[in-house]
Amino acid sequence: MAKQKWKLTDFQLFTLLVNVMAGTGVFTITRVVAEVAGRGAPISILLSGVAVMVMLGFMYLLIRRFPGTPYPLLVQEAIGQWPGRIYLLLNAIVQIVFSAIIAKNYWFTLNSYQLFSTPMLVFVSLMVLLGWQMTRRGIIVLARVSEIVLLISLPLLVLLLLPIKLIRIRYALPLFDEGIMAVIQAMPQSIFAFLGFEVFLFAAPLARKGRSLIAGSLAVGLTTLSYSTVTLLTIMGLSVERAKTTVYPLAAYLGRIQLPVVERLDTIFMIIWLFQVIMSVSIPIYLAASSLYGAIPRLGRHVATDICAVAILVLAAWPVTRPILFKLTEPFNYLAVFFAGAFPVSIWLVAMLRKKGGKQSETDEAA
Amino acid sequence: MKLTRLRNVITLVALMCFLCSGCWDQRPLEDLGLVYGLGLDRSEFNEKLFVVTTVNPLFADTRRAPNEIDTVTAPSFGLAVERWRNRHSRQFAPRKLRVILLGEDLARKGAQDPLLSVMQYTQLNEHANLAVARPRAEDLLRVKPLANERVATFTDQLLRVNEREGAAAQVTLSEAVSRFFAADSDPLIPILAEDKMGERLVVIGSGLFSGLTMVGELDERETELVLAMRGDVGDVVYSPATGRTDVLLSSYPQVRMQNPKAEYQVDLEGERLSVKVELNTGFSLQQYSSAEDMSDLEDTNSVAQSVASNLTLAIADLIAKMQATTADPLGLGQYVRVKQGKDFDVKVFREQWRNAEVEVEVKTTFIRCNTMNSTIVPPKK
Repeated sequence: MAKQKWKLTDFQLFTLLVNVMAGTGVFTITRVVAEVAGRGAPISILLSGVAVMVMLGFMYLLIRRFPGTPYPLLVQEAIGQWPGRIYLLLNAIVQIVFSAIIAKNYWFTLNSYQLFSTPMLVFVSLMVLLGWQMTRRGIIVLARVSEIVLLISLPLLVLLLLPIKLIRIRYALPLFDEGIMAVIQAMPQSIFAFLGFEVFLFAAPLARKGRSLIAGSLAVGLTTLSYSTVTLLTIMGLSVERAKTTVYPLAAYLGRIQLPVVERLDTIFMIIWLFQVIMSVSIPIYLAASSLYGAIPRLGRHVATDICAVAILVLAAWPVTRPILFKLTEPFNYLAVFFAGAFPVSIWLVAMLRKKGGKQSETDEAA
Repeated sequence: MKLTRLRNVITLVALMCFLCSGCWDQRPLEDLGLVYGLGLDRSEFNEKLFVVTTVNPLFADTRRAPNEIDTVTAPSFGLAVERWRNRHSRQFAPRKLRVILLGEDLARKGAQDPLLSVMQYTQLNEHANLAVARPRAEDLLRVKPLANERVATFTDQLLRVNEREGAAAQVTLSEAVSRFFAADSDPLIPILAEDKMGERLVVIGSGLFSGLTMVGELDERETELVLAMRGDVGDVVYSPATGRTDVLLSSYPQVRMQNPKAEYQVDLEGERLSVKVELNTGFSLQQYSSAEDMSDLEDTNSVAQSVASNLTLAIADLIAKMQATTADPLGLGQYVRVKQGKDFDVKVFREQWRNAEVEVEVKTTFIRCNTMNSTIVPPKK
């Protein structure tokens, strides 16, 4: 596995992170978090953002220990070849499932509002095919597309402010109606919405030196801010009690606005947000393919990508209903958080214990 | 075929398929049963059944009447829609729904079941205006407003105009349901009825709701006062019931409240709720033909005082009415919730509200008399 010659810019790293995190979660996060934290949901999301930043810090420590080394190689160097390969294989499976869940979830969202007759397989396969095409062309293409997509999706956040006249501030008070413990207990639910941030492990070693942590933190900060704003506005627009009983509270919140030109803001938002979701599906394909290639190098990068794309397609095409998907997603989310959070920290600790890395970093810095 | 070309072909085909979604998901207008008015009643013969009345616009070629009105009876709204579909072989399309009328009987016995069922439709226009129909929605929707005017459009416009003029609250389905779920404030839903000639629909007042159950009603004058107290409107015409005073010589002067703003101080000591309502409003006198010289400060103050005491009495009566029915259109429950947090219980709150101690204070500022041409501005203090 040769080292890459080109480098990602800090902005590309930033856009990759934002694009992978801000996906379908934005439609359901209010309901999922408010079910546990009540009106404290925005606070819970803010705390989760801080927790994700801490995880990102540990990831940075790990990467800094092996500067310029791609993550699949880094893992094998840090914890040994075979444990490393097993971890990478498991990570590939997690990313495949994650990507399939996002594709399927967005299908259900759109199917409820717009695409009533389009076959699910067509919709999902388009997203996977786009991801597959981009992944085969490497992370630099993914990053460049991310830059463009972010420029499309960022102005969407302004649309969220259109129904602001219809909100009631008192719906959001008292902030801690379920107690502080409930706010803390809801944190894992909100961390799910940040999943995908492990792209930092794969992308940061390929970025220019120095400011990758700042770019990553800014990306997490922006996503946290977006999620908490969406949650707060939705609660103030619908009331927390109604948000809990609505499948897609954001769509219901956006549906409140009625202007002569913008009659269905929810539909407009969903259509444009599709670009963002395609990136949320594509980036995990890249992570899965990189992990699989790292675990079984003789497959070759392209074959690994093909295998991952087919696996995602098969999983996404699996006929499950929306409630069953929601039920299956919950335990998977815990597993994914464990993979994204606990494993990089463990790898870093093992690398320290085994005294792997570090020295080279000093040599590099000296150079 | 080379792998790259194959890949491109596959992607192109997939893209074409996706673009085809415009064909698959097309919904020709002729196949849609556009529902733009909905009436919900309880069956007169069996209380367990709902009568769902739909109003569909007719197309120009088949048009002998502006609407097609259909009635389906079923145990639930969902089943009613199924029966409607079987009957019409068209898609039930409530995306352009303009108005939902609740029969008074249904509203009084609780409208949450059918309304929450209606909300399940993601293709629904949640901004449809809500109104109570007296006596039955089914009957009112069959009233022909004008020769070719459509009843739902007319009703929608009627409610909007009344809201703009500060005569009735405009409540959308979404807002009513949000209030129902939050359970800390109640909607004030306009009541519609036929006029004496039986030709037009008119707003005759508002329904006081506890949740989504109608528990009382307010006449037009009381409705205007509630709207002023909620700060929903900036300009409210209010006709004092006791207009004849020493200063107000005209028989029925109208008081136009301008920028009324009410502040509420809600205190909870144990189970005892005390509420202080303070209404600040500017006012002008309309249809006023007093012999008194309103450029005299003493007279101006006297009128302001008279209006304030009149409003105080009216508000006190109004609040007593709300307390008797435990309805909370002013949203005082929100203040209690902020204080109680998780311990807020809507049932307990309603009992506390029923027995609450209420103090009303009105502060008025005299602005002018009559219309702009004959404005007499009060002297500077």
